[in-house]
Amino acid sequence: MEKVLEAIFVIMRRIMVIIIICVLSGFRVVGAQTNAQDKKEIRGVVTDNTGAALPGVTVVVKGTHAGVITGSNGEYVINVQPNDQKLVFTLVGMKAVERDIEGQNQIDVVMAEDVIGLDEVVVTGYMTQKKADLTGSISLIDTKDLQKVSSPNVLKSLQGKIPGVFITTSGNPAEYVSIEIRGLTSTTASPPLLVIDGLPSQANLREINALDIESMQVLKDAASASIYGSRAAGGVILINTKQGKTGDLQVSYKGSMGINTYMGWQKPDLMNTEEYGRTIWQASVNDGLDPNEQTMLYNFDWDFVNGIPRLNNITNIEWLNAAQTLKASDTDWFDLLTQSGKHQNHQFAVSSGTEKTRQMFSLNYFEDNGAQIHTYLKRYSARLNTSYDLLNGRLKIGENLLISSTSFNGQNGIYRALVMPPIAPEYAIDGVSWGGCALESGMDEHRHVTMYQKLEKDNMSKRFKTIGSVFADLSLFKGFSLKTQYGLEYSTQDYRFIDFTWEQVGGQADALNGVSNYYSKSTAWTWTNTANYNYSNDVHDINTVAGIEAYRFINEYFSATREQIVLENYDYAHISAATGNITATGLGAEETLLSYFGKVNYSLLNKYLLALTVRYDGSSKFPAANKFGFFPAISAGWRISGEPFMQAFDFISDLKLRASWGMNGNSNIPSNAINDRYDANYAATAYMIDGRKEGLMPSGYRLTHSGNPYVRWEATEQFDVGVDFGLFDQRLSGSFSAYRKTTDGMLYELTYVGTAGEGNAVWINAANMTNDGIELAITFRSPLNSVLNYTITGNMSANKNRIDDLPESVVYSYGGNGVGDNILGRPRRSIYGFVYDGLYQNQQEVDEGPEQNGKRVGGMKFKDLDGDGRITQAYDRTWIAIREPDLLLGLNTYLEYKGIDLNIFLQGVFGNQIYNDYKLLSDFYNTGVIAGRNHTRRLLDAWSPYNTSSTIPGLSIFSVNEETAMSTYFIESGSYLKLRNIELGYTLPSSVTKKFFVRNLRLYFMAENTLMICKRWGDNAFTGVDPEAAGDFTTTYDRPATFTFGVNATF
Amino acid sequence: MIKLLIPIVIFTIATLGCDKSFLEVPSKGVLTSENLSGPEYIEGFVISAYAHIASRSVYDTHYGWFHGDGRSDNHYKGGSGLTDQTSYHEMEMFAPVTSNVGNNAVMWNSTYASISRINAAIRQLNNISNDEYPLKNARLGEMKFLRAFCHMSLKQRYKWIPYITDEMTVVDIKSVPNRPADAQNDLVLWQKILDDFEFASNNLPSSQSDPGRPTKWAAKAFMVKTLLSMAYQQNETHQVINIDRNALTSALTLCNEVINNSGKALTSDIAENFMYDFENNEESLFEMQFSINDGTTVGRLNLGMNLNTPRWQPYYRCCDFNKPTYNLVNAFRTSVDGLPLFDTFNDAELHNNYTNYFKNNTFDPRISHTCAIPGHPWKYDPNLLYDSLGSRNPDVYGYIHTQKEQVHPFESAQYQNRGNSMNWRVLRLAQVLLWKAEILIKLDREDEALPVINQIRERANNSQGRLKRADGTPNLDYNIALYQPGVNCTWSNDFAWKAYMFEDRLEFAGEGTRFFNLVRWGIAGDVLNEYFAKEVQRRSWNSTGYFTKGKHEYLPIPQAVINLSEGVYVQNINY
Repeated sequence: MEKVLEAIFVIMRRIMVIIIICVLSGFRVVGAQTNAQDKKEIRGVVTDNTGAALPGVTVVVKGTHAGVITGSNGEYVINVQPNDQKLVFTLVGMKAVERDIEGQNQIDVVMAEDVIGLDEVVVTGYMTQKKADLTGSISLIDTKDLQKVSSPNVLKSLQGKIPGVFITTSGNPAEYVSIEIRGLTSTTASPPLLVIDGLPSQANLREINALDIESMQVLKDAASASIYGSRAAGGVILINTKQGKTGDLQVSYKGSMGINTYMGWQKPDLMNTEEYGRTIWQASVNDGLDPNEQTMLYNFDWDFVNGIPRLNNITNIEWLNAAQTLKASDTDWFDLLTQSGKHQNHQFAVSSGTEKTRQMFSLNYFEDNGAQIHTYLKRYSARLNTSYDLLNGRLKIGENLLISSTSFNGQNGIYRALVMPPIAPEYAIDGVSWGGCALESGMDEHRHVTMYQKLEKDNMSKRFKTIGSVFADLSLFKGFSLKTQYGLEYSTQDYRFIDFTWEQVGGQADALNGVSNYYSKSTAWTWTNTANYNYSNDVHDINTVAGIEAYRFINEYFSATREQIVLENYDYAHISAATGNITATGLGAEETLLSYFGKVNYSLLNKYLLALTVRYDGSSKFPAANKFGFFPAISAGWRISGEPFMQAFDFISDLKLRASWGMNGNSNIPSNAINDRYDANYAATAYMIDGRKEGLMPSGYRLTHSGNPYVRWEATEQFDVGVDFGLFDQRLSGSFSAYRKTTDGMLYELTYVGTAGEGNAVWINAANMTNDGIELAITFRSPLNSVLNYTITGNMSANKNRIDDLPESVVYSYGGNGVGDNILGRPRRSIYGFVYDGLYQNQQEVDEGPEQNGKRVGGMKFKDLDGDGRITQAYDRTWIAIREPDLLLGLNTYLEYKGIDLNIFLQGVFGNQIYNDYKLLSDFYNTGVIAGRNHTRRLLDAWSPYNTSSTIPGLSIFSVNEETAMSTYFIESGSYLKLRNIELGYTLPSSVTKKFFVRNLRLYFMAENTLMICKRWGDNAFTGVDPEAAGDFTTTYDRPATFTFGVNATF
Repeated sequence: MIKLLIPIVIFTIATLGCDKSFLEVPSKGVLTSENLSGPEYIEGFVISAYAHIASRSVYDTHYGWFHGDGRSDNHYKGGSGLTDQTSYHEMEMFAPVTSNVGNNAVMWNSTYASISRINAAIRQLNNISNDEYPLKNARLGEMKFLRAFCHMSLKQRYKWIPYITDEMTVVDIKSVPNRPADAQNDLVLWQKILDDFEFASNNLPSSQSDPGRPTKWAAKAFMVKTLLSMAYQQNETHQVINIDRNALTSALTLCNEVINNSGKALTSDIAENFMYDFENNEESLFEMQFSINDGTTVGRLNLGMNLNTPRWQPYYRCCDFNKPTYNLVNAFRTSVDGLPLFDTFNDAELHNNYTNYFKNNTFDPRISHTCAIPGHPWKYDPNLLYDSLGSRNPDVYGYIHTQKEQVHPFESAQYQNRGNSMNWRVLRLAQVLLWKAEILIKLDREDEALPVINQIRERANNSQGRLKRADGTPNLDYNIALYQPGVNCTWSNDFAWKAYMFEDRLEFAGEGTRFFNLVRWGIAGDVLNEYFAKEVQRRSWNSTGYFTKGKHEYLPIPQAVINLSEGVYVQNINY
């Protein structure tokens, strides 16, 4: 910490020196001009088209920073120089207005609402630009969407809203959200770079309070992102937080609360105790075994009819243990595991501003209890953004500060709930002792479902994060300014977990307790210095920026575990209070970046647009010769709608063609990839060579990783073309982009053939990959000032990924048979496996079928692709699925009528095929280590001599054949369409609210994730619960439905 | 204009204030090869090689609980059922094994990781002179001993393996084939193993103050083991086609050297080879040292046996793997003369006949050292009777458990009632004695083998002192006699061979050698298919068991390994 403070001090001093020098030397020049002639005063009133006064409108002399703000009555007074030509009036949400000064003393202005948005100013990386002038692919997030957040991570509510951005989430309140912009860029792809208030950040968005976000942009093409250089290959997300607004003090409260809960369609259809017993019987008789010998839990009354086993009656034992304390039950474990988890969000914000100062202060409390018991996230955060105009508005200084404290418990018991036998009770008959499985009645060691959740409910992790920056922005002369910004991100993570003892009546116990303690801290600072120069006249408009940025990241962690504690509570359970074995680990990491960059935007006649970007990035991760990477970009645009010949088509309000090419980098490798690395890890290298039974051992060294002194940046090139259009005075507007992204020299951690031994992994630049895609966004809205306001926004995007090249030695690591068939030319997320060819109906079919391990009547048949009469790994597998969707879709409808608003948002993905590993549970009697697991009711419909039309293989206790090998049997459609959000709101008339000193009051009710349509029919019908489950269907904490009631009030 | 430039220049200089060293960031918590050159680091590389070999898990252990006993007629896999470690079930049934069978690549990769540590130590040693480091040759001997030991472990499992030495770079290693193109048979690989053991025997001292380091005698004993494998020459399809008497003669000389000069002797009670209190005893030639409360989380335990405790609460938590077969239990039955029942041993029925079976038969006392029987003392403690509740799935794997690798639950060697830190006796003198008997019989000198085998039986007979209940009565009706030609047997060469094979099984059951011996003798297919045919009547799941000669003598080269080799490795025949 001392070091950090020292660094801050040094830097602050440098900044002060710079500013003082600048002020002393620069201002004399400007000042000399100022005194040349007398000023003139202009006054006026700004109103909207209903005649209401508009406070907070910025009035500036065009081409300068000198400006004033209208007061609460809309009035302003401004001093102008004789050679000043125009006044510019701007207000967020209104069309900017320009007026000639000449000969005027009073300029009154009527501002119209800006639905077109073309004059909207957006931050595009170290500078701002008018939306109309953008030449890259940038998605602007609707601020309205940022306010609709019932989860701690704003990205959850943006899923499906941004074309080309693929977001996957889960229902775990503590879990990360994965985001992928324009496909998978690399096998070591880094997540998009997050830039908060100009500060590149390591933050996780769940630590950022969504209600504080003013604007959010996603830079998707390389030309837009390349100014961020080496960390931008995964795309860039720019976030600007709310700043204080000039005008009256504004106090606002936003609050919401509601529940997270699973609806019927989100629940697995698990078997009950009787059905569970029935499958034991069926599996046993299928294997020719006496079912009564296979289990002590049930008594089966059965016989043979025409040689086919028939079950007449089934009873289960009453007591699972001899002591008669554990009663056979019919437990719905999923029901016990889940709950209606409450969530609430309270935000209190104060915003104020004068002509020279602006402040924004907010306090937020967020609590999200998951749909599984004892899972939660709680976050306290505060933000203080201030800025001051000094020296007649020529110097702006300020700070942005976020402090956030988060605690969470993300335990996930879903797998346990899916497999726990229903016959086991949660508690013993005393209602206090833990129940669970009875080992003495032959049950296996199933892990109790709710016991762990309940015992470990307070084993929470905590994160504390401070993100702050200070800046000074000095306008030296007309159009030229210098800016320095120093940002610091300091975070700590820690937890203290108790390992509890427990004992189940059924015989399982854990008698050893202990405590684990973890602490880590990270410090990242970024110092950015930029010079901006803007020049414009009626013909040319030039914006330039040049800058230098330095970045240092330092992380350290320490972790210790110690066994045996006398008391299992958090007051007692500290490492020093424990008495047993102690294990401690700790390590550090550090990296630096030094970057030089520049960008020029040029606009000719507001029609011909050109932008050039260069960035030269140096990283500590690479060897001396390869430290720096050069990332150029160029983009151009043509606003056809500005051409005279387009005036004939006056229904076209905006039409722009754009194209860009650029290069981004990826350096997502550990910070010590250059050298061979050895360590002296005690646990791995110590040996009791002298034969003692206990005590410290002699230890040594081992190679942990091989170095590559030639490793370099991974570069991603992207070519992007697009068209932005608006018709009928922008009532219909949209944007279309197509891109090709090629990654060259992908950073790859190559592992040689295992024979090479330990520590042979090495980072190399090897593989190449291509992503091709298109994106389309269309918005249709109601005419201005209609009683019924509506906006319908649709977006769709498609991406195709292809691996072009891989290092030879890993060419089969992503599927393929090792003898020629490999993934090259196919998407990274391809699946390789057997082709399922139906079930064997009788012994004759089995005998005639190709040679296959364990083939049987009622068992699965694979296609003999090479026709050699045998099913082999080498020649009978093929490419059977691609997990990547063909199409991502989002459709958002917003209606407003006399204060009532309704918002409906649908999101879907289409054309992806997924590996549904849930089928291992739902379609096979037993496939894993723990015996006698429960299954879903699908299993009751398995093939049997009575049910030969079934497509589910006949049950078997053994499953020693290859039926559970990867095959098309497990490949299902991953397409779905979800009703992500439906929200109904009512804004009370201000005539009513005024009486209560409330300026604005809106009440709303919101339901999220309530309906889902997926492909339940056909050969690849989805048979699981939710096709969105990320990766592993048996362990995913599915996203629940969420219901929220909220209120927004401004005072 | 110049005035304008002043602030810009100053601004630029101020911000460029970072010098070049800004991008030089040292690594954290790691060492480079420069940090580790010099004699003071050599012991660290040597000890690290031992550590890797000793820290192996259930799946990649050299200790042959599964590959030596589980894949033979000695043990069932055990566990919760057939699907608990399915790949082991597949391997013990043989027929279902494919090149993708699970739990296979891990053995390969871990062992080569050990070898890379060994070779790293050898390179360090070769960089230093004898003067600087007087222990240089002795340490080189240790490392080459370990290198041969690791390759032998692989050789027994996979037959065709790349032999990796210290001169090879990572790039060289990639192009070393598992089966040299010009190899007529696998003797070339055995020869490399033999050479390393021979180097060790020439450079190691006769005794070591650290019991964990191999001695000259350990190296010679392993040369015997290697030469025996070389003597039974296999053809392309793993069938024994010739017995090389020269190799046997060389091995015999080595056996005699070890027996006569090593100073080692049989313990008076065989039990001491399976007890925590008698580690590094007089019979032990090479032992893997395990420890507990040693600064690691759980201790340097024999994790290879981590699944093998019965699930017998509260003494042991898990997992009931490694269960003696009924075939093995039957093998301990003796005739009224106190001799093994070579041809009829497996006729008796333990299945569903528990009480009568043990009442109505007589046994070799080694059954009680090898097998835990419900109602009998556990680990020689008459006050702790093994309980049938310790059996996790008796319907599938029965009630008998292994005992040799277990420690008494109250001994401090146990961690969390599961793993233990008792040393693994890799090689004990009894083995060298029986090898000597084997060689003599194969050299048609069976009369000389008789006293050697009887020496082993004599000790077994004398090992009944700990096999008693609390009231002093023996656990079982033990009846063991020496072979007395003309009295209870006719000592022909054929008979001697049967007697030898039986003796080897009874002495070493549960010590992880059986399957490899069956393969060496060339009888694995016959023995195992006969075993399946009978065992299926007791346990129906044996119906999928079938051993294909010319295939299942060896495991497939793991498919994942083949995939990575870019065609350099050749798959074993018939996989």
